[in-house]
Amino acid sequence: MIGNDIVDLEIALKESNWRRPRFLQKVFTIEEQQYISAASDKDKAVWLLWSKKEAAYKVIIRHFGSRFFRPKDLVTLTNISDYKDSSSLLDGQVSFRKQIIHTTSRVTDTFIHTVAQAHDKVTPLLVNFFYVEKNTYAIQHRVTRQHLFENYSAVTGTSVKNLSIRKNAQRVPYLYNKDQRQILELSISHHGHYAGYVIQSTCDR
Amino acid sequence: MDKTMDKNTIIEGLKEIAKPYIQDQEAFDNLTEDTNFVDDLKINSANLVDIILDVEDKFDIVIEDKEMEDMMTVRSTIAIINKKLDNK
Repeated sequence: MIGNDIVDLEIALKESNWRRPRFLQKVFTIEEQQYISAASDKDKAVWLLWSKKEAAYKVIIRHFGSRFFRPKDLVTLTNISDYKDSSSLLDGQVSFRKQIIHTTSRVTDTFIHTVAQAHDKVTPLLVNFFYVEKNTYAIQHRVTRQHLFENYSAVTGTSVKNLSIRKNAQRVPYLYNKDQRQILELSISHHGHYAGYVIQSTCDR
Repeated sequence: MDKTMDKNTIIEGLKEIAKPYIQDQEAFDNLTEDTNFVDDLKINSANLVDIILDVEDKFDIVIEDKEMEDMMTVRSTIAIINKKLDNK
């Protein structure tokens, strides 16, 4: 099972004031708050933990089949990774009840992209992230899907014009070829000027 | 004494709170009790936290963690606000 989340750091800085009173307490555990306050770049620390939780959440709703909004129940294990070397990918873990979700985060100066998986060491069919010139929601939505279709088409030889994405009642997206639901999982994320997605074949349950 | 608030007054208050965060103007213009903050108004989840904090400030209530997840639609948010006001 797979999920992903992307954060545009510049937009997050502008549109989300995590420094306002009670914001951190609503979202982060005591340990996570300590991790943030000890970080040299607190903005990056906040959004790194946030993207891990969001990506892990997307894995978990596939498993549980119902949606919830309890960011503190998704606990990032903060001792195992830091972002000192921004060129590398950071491995991490998020726990939810007794389940462990594995995360891989790419932290750059402009965005953070996290891919989450229920099982370790499965290489996704496709992982992608990119810059979108216009950052309105409707354009992001369209451009991200088009990008995904073209990439999937290049890998599988499927015609782009037959591809579509439909969401189930839990808002989990599925890829369709004509009216045939494809046996794979996908996760799409966009925020500000950045978009990302991941596709995985479902042999990994 | 009944401390709950009129539904329409709360909706007006919620519209004022949500306005800076919405990414779908049409859904906002047509907002009803069934409107979902994420699915319809396309509010991102970080801003959902802002909305919860704004609701706490505006109505002078404290939303518990386990109540946060019920604040996905206008209808359920009205119910939480009135429950909190009633228990004040």
